[in-house]
Amino acid sequence: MTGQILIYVAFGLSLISGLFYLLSKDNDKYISIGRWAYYGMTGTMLAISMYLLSNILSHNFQMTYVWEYSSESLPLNLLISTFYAGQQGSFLLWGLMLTLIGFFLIPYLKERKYEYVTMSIFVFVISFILLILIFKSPFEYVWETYADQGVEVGFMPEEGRGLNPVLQNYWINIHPPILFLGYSLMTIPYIFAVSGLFKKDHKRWIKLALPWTLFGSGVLGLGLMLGGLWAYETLGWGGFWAWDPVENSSLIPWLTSVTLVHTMYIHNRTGGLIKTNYVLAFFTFLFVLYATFLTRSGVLGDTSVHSFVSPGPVVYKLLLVFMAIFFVLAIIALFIRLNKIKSNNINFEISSKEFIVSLGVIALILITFIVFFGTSWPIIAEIIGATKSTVEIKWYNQLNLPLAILMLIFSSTALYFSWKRTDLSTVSKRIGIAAVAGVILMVISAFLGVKNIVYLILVFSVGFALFANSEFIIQNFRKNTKLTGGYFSHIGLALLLLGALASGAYSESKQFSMRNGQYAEFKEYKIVFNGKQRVELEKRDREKYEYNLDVIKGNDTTRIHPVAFWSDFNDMETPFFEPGVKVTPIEDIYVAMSLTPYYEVKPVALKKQMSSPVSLDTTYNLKMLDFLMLDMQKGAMDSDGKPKESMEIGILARISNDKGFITEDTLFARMNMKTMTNEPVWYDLDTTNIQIGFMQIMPDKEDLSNSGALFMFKEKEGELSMPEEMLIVEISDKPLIMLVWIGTIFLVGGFFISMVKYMKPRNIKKISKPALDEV
Amino acid sequence: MNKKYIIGSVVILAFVVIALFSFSDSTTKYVTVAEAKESNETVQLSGSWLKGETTDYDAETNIFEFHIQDEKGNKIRVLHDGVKPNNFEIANMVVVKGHYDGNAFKSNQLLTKCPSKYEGTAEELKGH
Repeated sequence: MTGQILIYVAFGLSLISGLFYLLSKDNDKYISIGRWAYYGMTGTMLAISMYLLSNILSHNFQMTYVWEYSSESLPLNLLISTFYAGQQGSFLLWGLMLTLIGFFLIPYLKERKYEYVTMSIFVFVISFILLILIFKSPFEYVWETYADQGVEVGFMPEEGRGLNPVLQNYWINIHPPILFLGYSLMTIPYIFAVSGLFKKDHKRWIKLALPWTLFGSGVLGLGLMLGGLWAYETLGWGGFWAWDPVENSSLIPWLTSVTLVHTMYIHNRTGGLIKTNYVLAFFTFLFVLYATFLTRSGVLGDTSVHSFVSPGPVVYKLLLVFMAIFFVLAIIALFIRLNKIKSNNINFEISSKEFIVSLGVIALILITFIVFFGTSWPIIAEIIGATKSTVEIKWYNQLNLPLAILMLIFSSTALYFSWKRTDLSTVSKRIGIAAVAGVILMVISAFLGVKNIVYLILVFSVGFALFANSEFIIQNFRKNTKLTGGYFSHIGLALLLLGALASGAYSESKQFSMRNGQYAEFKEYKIVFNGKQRVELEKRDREKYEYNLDVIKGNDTTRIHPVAFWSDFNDMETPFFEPGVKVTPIEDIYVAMSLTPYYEVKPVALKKQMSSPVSLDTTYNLKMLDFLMLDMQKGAMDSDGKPKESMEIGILARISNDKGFITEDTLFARMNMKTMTNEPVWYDLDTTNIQIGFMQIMPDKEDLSNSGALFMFKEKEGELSMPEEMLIVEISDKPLIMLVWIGTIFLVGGFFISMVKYMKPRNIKKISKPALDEV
Repeated sequence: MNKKYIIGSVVILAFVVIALFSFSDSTTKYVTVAEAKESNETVQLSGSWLKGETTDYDAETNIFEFHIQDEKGNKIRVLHDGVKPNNFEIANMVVVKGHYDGNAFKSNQLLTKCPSKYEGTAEELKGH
């Protein structure tokens, strides 16, 4: 009850805060009420989160959410992460992040007298999330969730279901919170834009929202790429980006927010693109809602590697309503004001910086369109009645590749151009020098074996961008480091794209199977399987092994450790795997493993009327005719009423060879009723030295009469060969993948540098007129 | 209207048209077992794994053989080029991508879906 009541209180306070902020025009008292209600809501939100966390930490499995996602065996860091392992908790985390952002947003707005309306929209976003939490509460008790299935009130499950072992990794403490912070920050351009329209202030909102948009772009970008690193390093997906709908749905708002950063920048310098800024600010937020809807509505169920739990019809509809309301609000506000919005300099000269940057913006918008269309295809197909289908990765790559090239070339050329008009004769020489750098990199990669012409052009544009942006960093670094954010981001983008191209298009991959002591030869590497050791012995819920693979190249040996583990989570039925990676600056050697049993003599599984050659002498054939369950028919109990410990069972089989030998006989075995394994009565095969054993019944649970049997073979006097573990590895090289991670650091770092630049107090005082003296 | 905007719009429109036209070639259809047997293209097939039928991974050829049944109850033998994926047994649905060669469905991509494992049931609750 406590939790539910707190959610209602927070919801009520959010409505009060939002309403007073909405009515607070020229009324400081109302603003003050709105603010205090907000602080009250913040406190309540913290209390809700603490309450959930304390229930998780104290293992109160009476709560369905705690029972579903956590267990007593989880270490503290993973236990904390179960806070947002499910839908309810992730909505709560989203709401909490928003609330805390507001804590920093209020003083920012207060100082600039911009709380009116702006905060109101912000709070209403939080209200919606609280509304979802009211309908889908993390505080529901098990007897409420399973009310119709006879779970009595007060029932306390002994142990929780636990966290999916795939997620049991320190990454779950890092990636989701950053992603949710990024998601939450995407709200801010939207609230500023609505507020701007409301107040007929079509320019100032852009300046005020810019540092927040930069911050949000940096955080969401970081969140996305950390997800990629997680997938690559631990989940064993083999790459950092797979154009999976779940990845894409977070990429779309990031792309619009990055586009928005550029159009805001153009506006700051030219006064133009006001409507473009409005539309992009709206879509940045709407796409976050869309992503939430896509990943939680179940529409992607068949087309993604991620798994989804349907949120139930109420939340599904709420999310739709949520999207519709904020969409309609934006559209109506924009149409009411449309005629009054006047941009300066609507005509950009072709030789101006703003024109070239705009071309880059168009490339970005087209990329957004591609990703949006491909990701939404399951929904579009359903609406237009097309056959259900999935989009192939190559479609994204083929179309985005030329756009990425244009993006790099425009963003670098723009550096040399001046605002309004450029004297091309003065800049052409500098552009030429940067282009020479591009050509050099292109020639080098051609020598290294890059033949594809489009790839070569991409490499050229990477070289061009690296040179141009480095030149400008050097030029500006001493004068004012804060001006260099954009250059760093563009260098990061160039490095990331180069790394993506090399590691994606030039990765070789080969499959090997090896037993302990054996090795595989991959390119100039020799990879030796040198045993395994059990790790994490203290954890009773799992059996985890590190495999030792020595990656040898010349005199250099590096030991890597792919992992296989069996977990209680799926009753130890099948193992989970983690890849082993040898990291070098030039390339990674990536080993994804799986396991299969290896038999010296292959066992044979047969169903009735099926036959197979005898493994030790294939001129003989074994056909299974029927089961003989004589003991079974006498009942499962002994004469003294105890369950039988073992039973005599048999298989009626036909054995033949190609020389005309044929016989029908019974293969007997004694089945242990506990383990369901057999002690076979070894059957001598004709005149050979081979014996056949009936090892096990392989039951078909749905159709018992369709069950099969497992047979093994050995030589007379010989030992039955026991299965050995065989490692199946897929070894691949990932050239230059390091550039992807380094590029990300530059890309994200650039946003933060720029944010600091626009946050600095000097900008506040000059806010009324554009600060044209700044570069 | 300025000339450069007209040119720009035409270029953008052309790109969008190319994107949409190339799209239909870049999608893989979901089909039923019956349709897969008729089709010559690469298709996707979803179904449930038939536990009773032969399920075998051959390390030498790196072929994983199993059988699935689609929603309509039609069965098909699948030869997947690769290992048995992690959590194959607990999946309540698998999706294979490939083509039918007259004898079996040759798959080169295999996805497993296990939503059941992510939501609790009352039986599980009492069992613990």
